[in-house]
Amino acid sequence: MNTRNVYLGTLIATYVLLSSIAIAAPVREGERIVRDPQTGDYTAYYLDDEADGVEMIESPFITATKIDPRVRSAFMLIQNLNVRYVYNISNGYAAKQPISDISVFGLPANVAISNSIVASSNGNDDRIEFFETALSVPNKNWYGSGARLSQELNIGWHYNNETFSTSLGIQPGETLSGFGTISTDLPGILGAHLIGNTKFHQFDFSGEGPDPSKTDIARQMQVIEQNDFVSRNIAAPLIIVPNPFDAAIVLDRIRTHVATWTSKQLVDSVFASQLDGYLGAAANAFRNNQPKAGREHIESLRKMLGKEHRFLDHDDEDNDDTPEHKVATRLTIDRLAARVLDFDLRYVLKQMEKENKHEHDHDEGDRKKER
Amino acid sequence: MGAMRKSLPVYCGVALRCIALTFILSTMATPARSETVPVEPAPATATVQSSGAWFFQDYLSIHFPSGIASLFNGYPTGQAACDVYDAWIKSRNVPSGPLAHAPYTFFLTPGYTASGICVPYNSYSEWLATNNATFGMYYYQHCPTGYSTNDPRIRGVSSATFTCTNNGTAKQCPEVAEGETPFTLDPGGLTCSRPDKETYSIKLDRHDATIEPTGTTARDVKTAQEFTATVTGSRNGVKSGATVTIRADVKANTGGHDHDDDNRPKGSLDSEKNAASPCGAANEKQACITGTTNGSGQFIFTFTSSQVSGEHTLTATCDLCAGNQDKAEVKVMVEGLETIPSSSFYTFIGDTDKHSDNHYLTPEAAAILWRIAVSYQMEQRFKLADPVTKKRTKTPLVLHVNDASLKWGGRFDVYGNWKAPHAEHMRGTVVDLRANGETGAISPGNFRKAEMLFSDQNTNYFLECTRDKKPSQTDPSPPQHKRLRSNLCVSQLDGSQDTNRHYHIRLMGVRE
Repeated sequence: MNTRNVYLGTLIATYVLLSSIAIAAPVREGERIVRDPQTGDYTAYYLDDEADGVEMIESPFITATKIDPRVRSAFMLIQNLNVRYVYNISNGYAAKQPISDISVFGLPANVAISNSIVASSNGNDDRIEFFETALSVPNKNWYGSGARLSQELNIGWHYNNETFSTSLGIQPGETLSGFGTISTDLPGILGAHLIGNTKFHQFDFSGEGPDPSKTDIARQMQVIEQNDFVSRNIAAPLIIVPNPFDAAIVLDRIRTHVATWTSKQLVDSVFASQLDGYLGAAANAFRNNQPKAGREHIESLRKMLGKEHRFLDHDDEDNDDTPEHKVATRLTIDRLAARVLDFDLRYVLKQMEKENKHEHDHDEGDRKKER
Repeated sequence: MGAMRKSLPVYCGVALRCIALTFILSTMATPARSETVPVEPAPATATVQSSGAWFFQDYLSIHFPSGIASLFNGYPTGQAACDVYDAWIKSRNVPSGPLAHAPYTFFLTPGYTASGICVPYNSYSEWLATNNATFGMYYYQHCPTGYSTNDPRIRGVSSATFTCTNNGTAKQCPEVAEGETPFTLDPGGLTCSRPDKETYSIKLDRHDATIEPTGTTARDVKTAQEFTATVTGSRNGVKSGATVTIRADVKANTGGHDHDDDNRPKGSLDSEKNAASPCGAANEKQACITGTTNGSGQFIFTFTSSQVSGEHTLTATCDLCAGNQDKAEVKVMVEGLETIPSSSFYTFIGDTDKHSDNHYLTPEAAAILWRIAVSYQMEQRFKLADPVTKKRTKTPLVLHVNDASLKWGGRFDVYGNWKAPHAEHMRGTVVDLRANGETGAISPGNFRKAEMLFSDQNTNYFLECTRDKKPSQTDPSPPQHKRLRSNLCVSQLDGSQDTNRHYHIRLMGVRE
């Protein structure tokens, strides 16, 4: 399964808009949102009656989805069993806008991001974490940002646009690498939001805009604004690794995450079922102190994956499969998904190997004593 | 004697039974309510006609059963007393009568106005004589309670008008208008009472409530409260068909508004369960309703809040209630709002004489604001270029926090006219940050970075420009500034910078 174009922002916006229209309260006469099929931009017409009299306001919206992004995720084990994540981002030649923002919303709230700075305010218990230094960027024109909220962690990489120029960012035909971060947690797959450079990312009007208590047009406009991005799957730290390491827990968490892949069309249901079975068996084996059986289940899983995609242990996303093999496997599991899962499984094996070696070292010392 | 004894218990028994029956009936009935007033001083003298009620008094009753005297009291004439005495003698199988009344002045004692005897006693006297007893009987009248007389004429006078003098203790009851029920003196002589007229009162089933203002985007919040007003009579219980009026009012300077006028919304009243119609002046039509009570004496109505928070008073009156009324206090407010904690990472601006306290948020929203403010100060990307070194080392001034919500939330009317703007800022989750180029404003160079900061915090935001003015009757062609956000609120017509430009942050990600 090739890496899919998951959802174009415009398709999402249109789908959500149509569905919201179907269930929403009726708009007032004359209010409407019109999409220009040529540009993909929108114009909203809404009744503004906050002051004396009622006036029809015309409000344009330039979409930020005129990009053709491709994201290649690389993830590798570095010292101390940390995972380095690196993203290589391309903008296709057909794009009409540069890419200026890459945002990742919805990482687990307690995922570890190395090199973040945690500070607390004197006099109260509020703590805040800064991510600028924890997110690597390709050059000084970019910066990283993030916020750890109670329910999730959001991070992103953004072009430092102080002049509102719409020509800045990853240009059509350009590729930029070096966006990344380091974490002790394992990769899963998440949709990143890539945004084209427009001067303004909202419907254009003065005042506070339409009042949703009077009309539903405001909610529909907000839906369009909130879905104004192109989504691409990336490998991101999603599988929390407990300390001390516990193979059963990690495998359970991998299993839970992989179970979401079917709905994302990253794996077909039959293959997903097989994966689930082996993952569950491996977790139970480690849980029941049967590491040998656990390792065997993991190796079986890796073999399954290896049959679908070759060179899964390559850390970057260079797809070294043959074209014929790509065609044959595109219906079973997405290559990025297969790479992520293989990496996670190798990590578990490496951790168990490390534990095993530690045990053997102890045994050797005891034998010397006996002597 | 034996026969007399047999009849007496019957008579007594009958009387006693009558008395008992009266007592029982009186206890079963609704306890009589009475209007009670203090007694008034009685006149100094009282004129008494001697031909009033005659009382039988046996002054030597050794041959009669004790207590007999009390059975023969209060006759209108002396002859009537003699007739009863005659019947009593006969009941003892003593031959007697008929007895005739005659004046008799002997043994007249002070306090008694006249006396008489019943004659002849022929057979009875003979009976008495054979038993070596004397018998006498007299009838008397006396001064009213609290009066006495030493008038010597009363002795031996059977019919006369004489004067009794108030000895200091005589009291009387207040006089009443013609046709009214008179007062009677209560036992104890200190008060006078008469039965009550029917009076009505009105009562609400609750006297306080808290509801939210309408017009917010919140779902499942209570913006209306049902009340029941019951009209009850003092004698006959609940009253149907009584006309009830309910008025809603609002206390000045409540809810966070330091201004007031007659146009302040008072909420609205309605009744779906009783027929009702609006009442009051033209500007309070919604805040006044009138209707009639149902068969249970109830008038059920609903008070719905306006968009403006504050302390409201509902007053219930009825046409029969003669000034009696009942009130309820209703707080229209968004609960849970607190003053934004002070911090070294932001400062407050924007308070006015109409809204002196404009910085209320929910605690959760305030925490998000704090994180935004700290990041804005601490993160490198917001550093400004030092004018000397040209390096980005200069920390911007702290965020200047303008309007959040009022103390009780609800409509935040910037101009003090109970209307928008603001349209939001109603539930303690929205705040404005200065971005207009003045001191402490987020600079345009940091706009996009600030927006990413807002976005990372899962807030919803927009750069707000002053709304263009619309044509009006008084000014049909006012300047339209065309200050659009894409133009950073700079007028497309005259290039002027909007001094009101600010970031409007929906801290919880939703419009409220």
